[in-house]
Amino acid sequence: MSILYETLLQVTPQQVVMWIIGGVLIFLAIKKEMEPTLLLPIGFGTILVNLPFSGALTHYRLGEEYISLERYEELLAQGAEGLHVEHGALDVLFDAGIANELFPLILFIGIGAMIDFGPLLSNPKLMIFGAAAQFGIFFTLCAASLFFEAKDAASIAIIGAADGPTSIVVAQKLGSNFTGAIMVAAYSYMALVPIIQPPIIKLLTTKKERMIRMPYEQKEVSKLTRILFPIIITAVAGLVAPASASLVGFLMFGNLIRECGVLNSLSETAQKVLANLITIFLGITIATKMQAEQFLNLNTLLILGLGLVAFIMDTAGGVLFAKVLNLFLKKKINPMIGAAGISAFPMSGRIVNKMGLDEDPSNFLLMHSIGVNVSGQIASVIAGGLILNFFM
Amino acid sequence: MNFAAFLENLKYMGLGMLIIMIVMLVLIAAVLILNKLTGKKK
Repeated sequence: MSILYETLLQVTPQQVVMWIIGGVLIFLAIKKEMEPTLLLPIGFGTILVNLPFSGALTHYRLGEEYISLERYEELLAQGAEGLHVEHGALDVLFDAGIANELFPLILFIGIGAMIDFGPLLSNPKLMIFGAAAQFGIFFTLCAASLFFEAKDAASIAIIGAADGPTSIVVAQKLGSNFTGAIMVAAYSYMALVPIIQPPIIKLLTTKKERMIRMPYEQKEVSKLTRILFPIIITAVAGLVAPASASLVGFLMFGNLIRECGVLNSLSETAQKVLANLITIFLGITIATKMQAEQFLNLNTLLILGLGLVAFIMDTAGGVLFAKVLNLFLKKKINPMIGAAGISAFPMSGRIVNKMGLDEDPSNFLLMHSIGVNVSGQIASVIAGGLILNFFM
Repeated sequence: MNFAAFLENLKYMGLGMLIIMIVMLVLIAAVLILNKLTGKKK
């Protein structure tokens, strides 16, 4: 019985708060279907890692006494006796797959295999909106640098990539102390895109602008173009921002498997089995960064606020860029499609289409908005690479 | 609040957006050329 009491007495109020946060994430994942593939494992993992002396985490001991990693290293350097390490599965998974960015990069193969660049390739000019909608990343970089040191500000800014794996890779490579909060912000806001984007788009556009029609002229895209496109992107992005080579390369490798036409079974495996498997491990492993002492502080609230700023400014950047272009174009663009460059694929593209239909039930913007959305995916990964190049 | 870092990062904002725009313009040009060489209108 004393063992039970001892453990119960070790529960801290902060850990109870983390259990509640974990419960809220699980609730949002199941009841509201907000990014359930990631928020559910993160929510469950949050509870798991905030149990006193959780066996899922690695612990360091001096005899029977639990000590911190820093104290362990200090004693080890002094040659102290009686030191033990109890390895926890989640920390082992973290070291094996996230600390070295392996899981997010492998997940990118699956994501690349899922993306159809067809709408973008048939109207490549849309790619420029994907670039404009990365404004939120760089704006947030400036805003975050007011409060955080450079590596953390850059990691927080990349929440605006609206892309989980990119956020993990950047935060890990830069050695940010706030990976947990950054991940929660990135995935939560991606799920909240249908709530965040429409008011910003409405605020920045007139009804007349939202009603602009953009007829879609379907063009056949050759297989050669589909095959060469991922190779060209990898080469261009790798030459401009070498740090983006792994991010862009794994994403485009997945797409090449899809488009080459001779690896259908690999493409199917990458899209389904591989992506699902890595997603399971990624979500629960990220929860190692959700320990009360790391997560419960004012910085987390600030990161959540800055993440929202990133999403808002991404949306604004895309819309305003389209409005500026319209000043020079004879054939006007519906500025709402600029907002789809945020990369939260395919949600953002669908939202823009729905808003167009709300204004005019016969105005279909889907093919344009999905094209912009896909280009946002490419641009956000390149932006991640640039951030790494600037700050590594 | 670190205003010096803010001003320093304004430089990265301009540079970052410029590079992304150039990369995307290069990609647009590449795809337009590829479409011209290989594509057919339906």
